[in-house]
Amino acid sequence: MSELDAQTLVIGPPKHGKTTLIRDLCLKHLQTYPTGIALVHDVNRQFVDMCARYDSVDAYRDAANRAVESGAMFPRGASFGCDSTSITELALELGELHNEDGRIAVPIFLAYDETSLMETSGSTWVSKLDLKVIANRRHRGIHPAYNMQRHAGLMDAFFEMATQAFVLAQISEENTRALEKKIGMKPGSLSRLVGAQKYLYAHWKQGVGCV
Amino acid sequence: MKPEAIRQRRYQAAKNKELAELRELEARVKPPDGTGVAEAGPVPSGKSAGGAPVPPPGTYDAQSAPLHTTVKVTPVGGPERFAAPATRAPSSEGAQPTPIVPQTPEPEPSPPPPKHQTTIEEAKLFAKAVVGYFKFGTGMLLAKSPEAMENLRQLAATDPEWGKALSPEGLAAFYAFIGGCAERTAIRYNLRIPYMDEGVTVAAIGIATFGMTYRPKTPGDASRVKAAKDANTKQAAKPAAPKNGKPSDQPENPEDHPVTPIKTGVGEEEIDLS
Repeated sequence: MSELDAQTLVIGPPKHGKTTLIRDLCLKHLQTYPTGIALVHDVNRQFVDMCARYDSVDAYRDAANRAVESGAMFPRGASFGCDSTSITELALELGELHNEDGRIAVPIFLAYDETSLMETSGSTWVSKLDLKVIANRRHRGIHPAYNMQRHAGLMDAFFEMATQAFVLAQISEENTRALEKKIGMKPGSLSRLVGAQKYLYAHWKQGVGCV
Repeated sequence: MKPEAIRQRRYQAAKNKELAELRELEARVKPPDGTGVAEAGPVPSGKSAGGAPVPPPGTYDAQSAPLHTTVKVTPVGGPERFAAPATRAPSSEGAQPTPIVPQTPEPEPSPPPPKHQTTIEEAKLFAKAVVGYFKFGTGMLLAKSPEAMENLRQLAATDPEWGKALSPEGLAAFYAFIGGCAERTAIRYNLRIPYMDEGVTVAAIGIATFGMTYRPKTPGDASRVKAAKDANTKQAAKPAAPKNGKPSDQPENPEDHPVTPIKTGVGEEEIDLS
């Protein structure tokens, strides 16, 4: 499956390597696609070594337009410290402007480093904006990646539409059962991750299984 | 054989070959007893029957899948390492390159604020002012023309219709009519008393300030003024003493004795008693 229409979930407790996985995906995206851009909701500034830092989407626009006027090179990665809503809207706007199904000119990697800091969706609701991203990612060339500490942090819609999941250590069997159900794995598949060590993870891909 | 027929036969042959490969694939994947979920088995290397690349083998049984370890990577060179032109190549020849991030469009200018519409309260105040002004003006007119006033009295006394109209009830109705017309005019033409708020505020402050600073005249002031006047008058009438000591037979010329103004002590006003 192409990465251009992937949807990634990373689930694990704090300090187990979730951000490392998202960083790896971001790096691969920027290395693989010469015209690809990365938009990261990065409140904790963990992507500033590969993405330019902006306090707002307007600052990003201004910097891009200054680069157009001066002809200078513009960093393709952007790390934002503002609200996630404006970043999501920006991704959709750029996707509609540059991409269409079968012709992705600007692949967009859209990462939320901590979904608990998202304003648009949570454990009991999904906003229309996020649904738009999930449902139209193939047409807009957007690869959304969600980083969460608990599987209950986001609603089932995110899991049902996920094309790959990185599952790190889980604290209990109940957690793993619920996660297996949400992702669509066999019961017991993630039992090895109960109490697993840090930095160990299982990688599941839609249509393929655990790889 | 016609080219179209040849094409049809080639297509059919490819389709048959594809179907055969698909059947072989299914036979390898399907379990012998026909129960349970198909498990991923060895797939033919290279391309699938449809020509698309085969996905790497995986398993739905995560127990046998390996666990991976995260690897921390720190890119060298910072964000500038992944920099690129901020524009996309034009889609057609001769077109301008498209900026990857468009500038936010300028917000539309806000519409001008709506013109003030006179409220009901403002219209009523306007009407009251018009009626008050009418009463004041007509009162002044009648005060300056006693004959007209007398004529109106006689008219009211002799003609019952005029008597009714000029009675207090009749006048009140007339004033109410004027007020109503003025009120509707104010609403229709968006009129109001200009600077009414400012004027009332200044007048209120001015009257209060005047009240606090005004010093009324005391009863003793008037008699002091009168006494000073009398004293000056007597002094003016008294003959002047002669220079050689003898009384003069000629009457005194008041111009020879200019009178000095006396200050009465009331404010700073000087009263010339000459």
